[in-house]
Formats: sequence, structure tokens, C-alpha cells
Amino acid sequence: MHRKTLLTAALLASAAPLALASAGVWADAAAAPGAPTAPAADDYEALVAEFDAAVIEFKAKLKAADKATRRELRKNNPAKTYWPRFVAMSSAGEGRATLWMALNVTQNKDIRSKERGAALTPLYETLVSKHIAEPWFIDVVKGINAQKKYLGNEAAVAMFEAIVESSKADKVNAAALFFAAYTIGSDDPDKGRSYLERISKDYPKTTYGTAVTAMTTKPAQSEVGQIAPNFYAEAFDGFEFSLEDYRGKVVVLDFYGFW
Amino acid sequence: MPHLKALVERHENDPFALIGINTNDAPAAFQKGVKDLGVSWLSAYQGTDMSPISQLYHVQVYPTYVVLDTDGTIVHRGSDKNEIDGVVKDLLANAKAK
Repeated sequence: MHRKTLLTAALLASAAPLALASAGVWADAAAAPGAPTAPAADDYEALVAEFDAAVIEFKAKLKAADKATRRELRKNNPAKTYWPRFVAMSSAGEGRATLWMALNVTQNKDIRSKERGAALTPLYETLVSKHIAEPWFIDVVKGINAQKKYLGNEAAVAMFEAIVESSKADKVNAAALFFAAYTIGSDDPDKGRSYLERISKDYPKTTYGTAVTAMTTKPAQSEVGQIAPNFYAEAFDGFEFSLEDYRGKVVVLDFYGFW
Repeated sequence: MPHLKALVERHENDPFALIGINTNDAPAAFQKGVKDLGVSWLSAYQGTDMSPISQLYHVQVYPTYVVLDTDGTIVHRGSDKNEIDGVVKDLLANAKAK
């Protein structure tokens, strides 16, 4: 099962630019063959910044327009107009552009909802086989989980397993095992449990390790008089810390939300 | 938030840390909140799809404040921000006396 998935992923990866170009929906990807190797990192960032600005402008235009104009405007939303440029960048080897396409697939109205699974599968397989060591790869794992309704649960679990097989990053592996356990859920509880146990055993010092610990921690363990349960957490900017780092200080934990 | 900000500023030079545990804010809402309300202290960001630390502490009400002594013992737990000032002050005084 593993080997088959990896093999398919590898095959698809090498064929990806071609496959993308030949599918009708990936307009303009024909620029890819013979394209130079991976573009400079700031090319991607510049494109995303340009796209984000276009989205803000688009939303303002929508707001100001009447109903009929709005319908016309929606046909050419920024995700659609910028799509070919992300395709070209993806084909040139920029994995973040590939991930951008995956995460924005629902915004591209050229891809009907029924086609989303078929569009997403090669994107994620390319990401898994070629970009697994990238620092942003955790977002791929989260993306697969968020889009498993299009990919299908079985395919998503196979991807998570392939990730655990090849990734060397604890956080990535813990996330993949965690989402695999949830995706399998009641279909195979024993397997799900084995994934969670593996997180506790191999990757306890991650957010996901804390999530598994939380499942078996009773309310009485966090009442006044108890030693505060330790946790591993991450700040918005990716800074990782644990409660134990603050021993020796008086600590206030503030559980809050801006909502 | 102004209350917490004042607490942090008051104990700037003490062995004290305020750690926010953000629960259920989408990235944009989180970034806007941090900016608008001037959150300068460390905050865990759990995102919208899971909240392991809130689960670990069985938090049911927001906000919830959990105050820990220097050895990690839970000394106070509650939702009233006015209560934490005195608790923190006493703990710091005790820590200094030791």
C-alpha cells in the first residue's frame, strides 16, 4: 500500500507539468516545458502580494457594484485571473505556488466542484514527493486535512502515511499521524489509536503530542492545588515553547479569543 | 486587554509571565486583534481546527485565567480579571521572601 502510493506519487510528480498543461483547466501552463529551474523565492512572495492586493481591490469593486455587474465581476475573480501565473510558477518547481493552487482551488470557478478531487490529487502528490523537506510543508499536511472531502478519506490517509514514511520533521509527522487518526475515525478505530500512540511515543514535544495528552487528562488535573499540566505550543509566528520553560516565574495563562 | 497590559507593565522587572492561549480565532482575526489591542506578550495560537491546550485545561468559559506559582502549582483559576492582580502580587512577594 505504502509502496504503491509513493510510486504513484513519484510518477505523477515527474509528469506533473505535462499533466497540468494538458488538462483544459490549467490554461497557459504550456509555458512550462523548458522553463528555467526554480524561480527566486521572492518571485512567489511578490506574486502573492500582488494577488492579495487584487483581492482587496476586487472586494471593494464588488461592494460598490449593482447586482448584475456583480455577477459579471465574479466570473473573473482574481483567483481565476491569477491562476495561470501560479500554474507557471508551480510548473517551474516553486512548491509554494503548487500549494497555493491547492488551497485556492475552490476560488477558481473554472474548476467545478466535482473536478476538485481530480485537480487536487496531483498537486498534493507533487508536494509530498518533491517538497517534503520544506519549512512550510506543515501547511501541506493541514491542506490535505482541510480538503479531504474532495480527495477522499482513503486517499488522504494514504498521503498522511506517505508523509510519515519520508518526513524527518517531528511536527510534520505528528500532524500527519494526528489527522490520519481523525480521518480514519470510526472506520478503523484500532488503526486510529495506533497513530495516536505513535505521536505520544515518538513526538510528544509537539502541539499534537499535547492534543493526545489532553484526550486522557481529567478535569481534576488542572484544578487549584495541582501541578499545571505541561504543554507544547506554537505562537502565530511559529515560535515554539512549552510551559516548563517558565518554571521559576509566576505565570498567568490567559485563555482568550478575539471573537 | 488594557487590564492585562497594565499587569504586564507593572511586573516588567519581576519573575512574571503572562501567556495568552488563543482559541478559535482565524488568522486574520488574530492578527487584527493583536494589532488593535496591543498584545505584546507571548501568545499560543491554536487556530480554528483544534485547541489542545484549552482541552488539556478543560476550559469551558472564556476568558479563563489560570495563575501558577513559581514551582508550577495552580494557585488560582477564574474568569474575573480583577482577581488575578492580587494573586500575582502575593505570589511575587512570597517568591521574593524565599
